[in-house]
Amino acid sequence: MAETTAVKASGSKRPDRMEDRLSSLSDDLLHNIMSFLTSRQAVQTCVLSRRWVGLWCSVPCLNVDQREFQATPPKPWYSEDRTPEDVRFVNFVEGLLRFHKAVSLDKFRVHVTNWHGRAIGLRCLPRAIECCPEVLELCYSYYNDSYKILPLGSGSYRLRRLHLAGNFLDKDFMLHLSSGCPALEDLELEECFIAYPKIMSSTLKNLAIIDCTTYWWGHPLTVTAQALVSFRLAFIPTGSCWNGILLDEMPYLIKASICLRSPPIPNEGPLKLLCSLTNARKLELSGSDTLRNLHEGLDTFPKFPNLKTLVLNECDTGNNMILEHFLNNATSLEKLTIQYCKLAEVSGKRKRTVDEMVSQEFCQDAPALECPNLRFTEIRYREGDFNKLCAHLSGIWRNLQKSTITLTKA
Amino acid sequence: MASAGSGDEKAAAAAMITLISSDNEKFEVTEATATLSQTIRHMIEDGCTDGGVPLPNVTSKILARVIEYCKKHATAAAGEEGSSSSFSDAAFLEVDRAFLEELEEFDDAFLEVDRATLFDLILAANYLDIKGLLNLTCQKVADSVKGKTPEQIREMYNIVNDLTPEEEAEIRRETQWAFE
Repeated sequence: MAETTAVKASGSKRPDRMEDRLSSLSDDLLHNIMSFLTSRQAVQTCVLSRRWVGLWCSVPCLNVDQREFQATPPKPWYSEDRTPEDVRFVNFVEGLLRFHKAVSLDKFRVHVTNWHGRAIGLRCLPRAIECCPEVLELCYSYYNDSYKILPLGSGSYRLRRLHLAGNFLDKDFMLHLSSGCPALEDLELEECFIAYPKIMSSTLKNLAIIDCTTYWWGHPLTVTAQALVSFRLAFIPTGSCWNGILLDEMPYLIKASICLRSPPIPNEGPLKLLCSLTNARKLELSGSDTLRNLHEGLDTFPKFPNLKTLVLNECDTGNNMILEHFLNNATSLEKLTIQYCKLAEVSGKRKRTVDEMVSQEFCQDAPALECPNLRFTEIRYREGDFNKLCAHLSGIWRNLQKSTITLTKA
Repeated sequence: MASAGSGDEKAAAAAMITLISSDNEKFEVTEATATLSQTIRHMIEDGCTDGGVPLPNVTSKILARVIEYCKKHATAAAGEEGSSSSFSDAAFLEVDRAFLEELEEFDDAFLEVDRATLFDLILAANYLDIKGLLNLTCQKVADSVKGKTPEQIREMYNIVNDLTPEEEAEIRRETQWAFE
């Protein structure tokens, strides 16, 4: 096969138009191609020609998505009645499970949009667990607290990536993450209910916790993952309780992205959150309440010796000195990006222009900040914020002088 | 064949590997670029790359493209490795979002090829065992058939339907659940 390829590409003058290069690929390559399709599309290839008849049955991937069978407009998830679309989806999954024969699965992905879909989606799960997938994604478009995830048992020993949305995660599951997933590197929890507030894993490299809620009043979610390289936390208030998050030391942390859009969190959670990010080389803080949460109750600001890149995105930098604190405590900082932040009104001082700020006398008034390595500063702002921007930056102007500044108006 | 030269020469050329295409064209690449290919990585580990690595399954036209891909992605890998293992500065800025975006743009532009080249790239990526390139090219084919009917896919890829109408009807009956 290999030789014919070379000959075809170099020698043959025959127009490519009539060749069926796709069907002449090996089964493995066709399986690889089909693993980028949803299972429904993969099954539909069976009528292309004799070559394709049973190929889909051994694709090492199941990808079931109820949105392919969606009624328009979609019915609410709690709707009692099974729509014809629900029936088609259920029939599809039953057929798929009856004929799909791959002995091992690389990817198993289910996305369902209502409880009829979920019931049938759950019937796939034992098959997935039996096949020990490397990638497991279970996404429900809605949350219901009776939706416990099934025990993964020994089916998770190859698991490298786990993405759960809309699941209820009980104590057994949370403990299984540390004891039963020896290869787990990526964990993404989205709109999940975390009923036991501990995430422990010695292998985890990337962790994202997005809009999850925890159960335990007064107990913050604690994360113990020493190997973590990237951490993402996003939280928007949903009315449910959230008691903050505590992270144990993460010596290898490179990137952290925090987005909080809720009122300040009581107790010491936020302070410890900031302290546990001190190894990060890149920090991205976004959302109107993030800075306030990080800053609340802070007597001393931790040092960020490795921080090279700081991004503040849509933050409220008014009424706190967090930007100044960062500039004082991140001596390696090289790149600062401030985009669309709400800036403090500088009261009692007249508004300054950029020209005045550059002038030497002005720089001498400004408080000295230790930030010797800052080389790039990028500021994106909205039209109305310009004066405030100038006033706010005046305090840190001495540092910004040495760096290349880009100002971009929205 | 040029056998092992003097020690000095060897040391100077240590980081370079010569790849030889099916039409006998020679390409000199760095070891970092070449080892994106697991096949070549193993050859290097086994010490059988002196005098060049013959790649009888890959034409010069395709090999040039594959090397272009590997060069770009080797830089990216070096940036990532640098940032996680040392504090050397510029490396970290390179794994910045802008760099990843640039890499994505590169991949998109790289895939702007005719179908014959795309299949040649798939076969080359498979033979050379370059996972990133293999997935990239396979996904490109998958994306091209998404949302298409079997008839459209046949036409697109010149697939001759060698099933009799009775056979096709039978298969459709058995898999009706996927066509509803």
